[in-house]
Amino acid sequence: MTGTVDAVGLGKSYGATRAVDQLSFTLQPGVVTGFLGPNGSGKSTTLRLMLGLDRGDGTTLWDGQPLASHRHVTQVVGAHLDAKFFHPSRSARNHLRMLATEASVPLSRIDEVIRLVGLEGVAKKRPSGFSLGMGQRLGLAGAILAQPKVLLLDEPANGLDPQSIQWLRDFLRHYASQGNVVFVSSHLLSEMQLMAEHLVVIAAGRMVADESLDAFVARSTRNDVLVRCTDRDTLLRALAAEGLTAVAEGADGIAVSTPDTDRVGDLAFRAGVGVRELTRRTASLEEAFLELTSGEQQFAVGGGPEDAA
Amino acid sequence: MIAALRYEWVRVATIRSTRFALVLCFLAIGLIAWAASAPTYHEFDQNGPVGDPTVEWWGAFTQPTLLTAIFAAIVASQNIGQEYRFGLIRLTLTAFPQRWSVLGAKLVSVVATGLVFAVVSYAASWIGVALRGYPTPPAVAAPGEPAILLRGAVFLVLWSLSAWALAGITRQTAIGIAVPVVSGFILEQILGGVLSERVPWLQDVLPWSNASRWFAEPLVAPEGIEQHFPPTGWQGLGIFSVWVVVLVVLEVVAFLRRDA
Repeated sequence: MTGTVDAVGLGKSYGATRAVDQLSFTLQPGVVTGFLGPNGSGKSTTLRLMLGLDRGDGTTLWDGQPLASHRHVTQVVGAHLDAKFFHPSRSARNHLRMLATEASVPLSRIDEVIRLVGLEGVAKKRPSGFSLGMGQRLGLAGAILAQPKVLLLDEPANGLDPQSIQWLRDFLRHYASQGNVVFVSSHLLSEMQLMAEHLVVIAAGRMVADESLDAFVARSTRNDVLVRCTDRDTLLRALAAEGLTAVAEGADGIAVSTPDTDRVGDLAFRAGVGVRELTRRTASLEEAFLELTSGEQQFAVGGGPEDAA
Repeated sequence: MIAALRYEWVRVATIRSTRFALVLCFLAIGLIAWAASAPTYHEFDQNGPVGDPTVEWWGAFTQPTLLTAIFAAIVASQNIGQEYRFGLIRLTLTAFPQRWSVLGAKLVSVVATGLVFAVVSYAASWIGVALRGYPTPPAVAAPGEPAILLRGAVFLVLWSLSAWALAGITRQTAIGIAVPVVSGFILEQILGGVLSERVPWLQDVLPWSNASRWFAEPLVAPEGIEQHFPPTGWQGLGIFSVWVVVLVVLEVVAFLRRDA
């Protein structure tokens, strides 16, 4: 019993279009795993394939077994796939009552999750008038109702205010820290950088990365060293002689394509160049993501802001 | 399967439209039964009605059945159509990945829907005739027998199943509600009429017009009569049942094979 989720060879075609192509990955308990990809890259389809909602190739094993083999499925996985998956005339509490039947979740637990997600004031109201954020809270409440070992969440932060996003981040990290699997897709890369420790990144339905967030970011060419110095030309020659790529930046700076500040400092010392600043610059998740998925965006935007003017 | 049935029960019982349909059905059928059971004179002379009136006591139970079928079709169609409309089918099948158990629970639910509406309809009809002062068939009641109530219940169950299957195949609640009514009362009548000379047997095999023959026609042809049209009650039930089975099988295949 490892508690992992193993997706093996997931695939799905819509006509001639291959939406998801041979995706295999393992989700580990104890960490939040982010699921990233450009629009139309197949993230939602992948989640549906994992849950058996869409017919396609491959299998997903939940703690070593297919989902249907588990006695109480809602104690294995809780999924929140869309903030609008509710009947507009069924109250939020009744919606959760319905979901609670599979694992015979007691009514006290329903009230508990309603309080947890902050819906106690509207629990008996029809959700037809719910905002997107309230719909997200209801969806999350449904997903965690039976305290599943795995949470699958598709864009759960959409429509949430900053305080709620911070709450969601803390909640998911805490949930994962209790030995559970948390798999979250999101377009909010800055948020994902704060939340996730591991990433599964896909583009055009194919795997781009399945590694720790730090390793993913480290692959970006935007990780470099900025050195400001007294004699830029001399240092540029010295860096080139060492085989390092370097370009001038600002009045007296050089951007060197290496994460190694010691090496650049030693080179400057040996070249007799005075150093005014030596800084390692790390790419953001957003920069790394854009760089590593460039050319794979299915629904690309048309141009820069100047084109819209 | 038990958990899926409980899920279905909570699902059906916690939406307003189910309660509205039952209450509206009860009120409408009661009113129709009350009106239908008014004593009616069939012969008149210069001084007014002649002879004893007739009370359509059994008719008060059977005449509103088509209206009851529409209410039952609303609930039966919502059983599957609204799951797709609001995306709830994905929550349902996440909680119950074994699609057969969900399908079985839904079929039980639809059969129960037909039976519940039969009971509600008959209860409302009885209240309607009782308010007229006829809690039991009066001496002047038109001919009838209790078995007609059973035939009506079977009719409602099959009608509900056909509506449910249509809504599931098309993933549209409105199709399940409208198609049986429009087809049974308009399209099939027009088709049967227009093509009566070229395809005289056509109306014998159309689905929903045969449904009403199940309890509107004698179960078997009177002895000595070689009957071609209309089909007898049993024939009507058989033809409609075949159509319902075909629709339900198509929906079962679609439900099991298609993406949720």
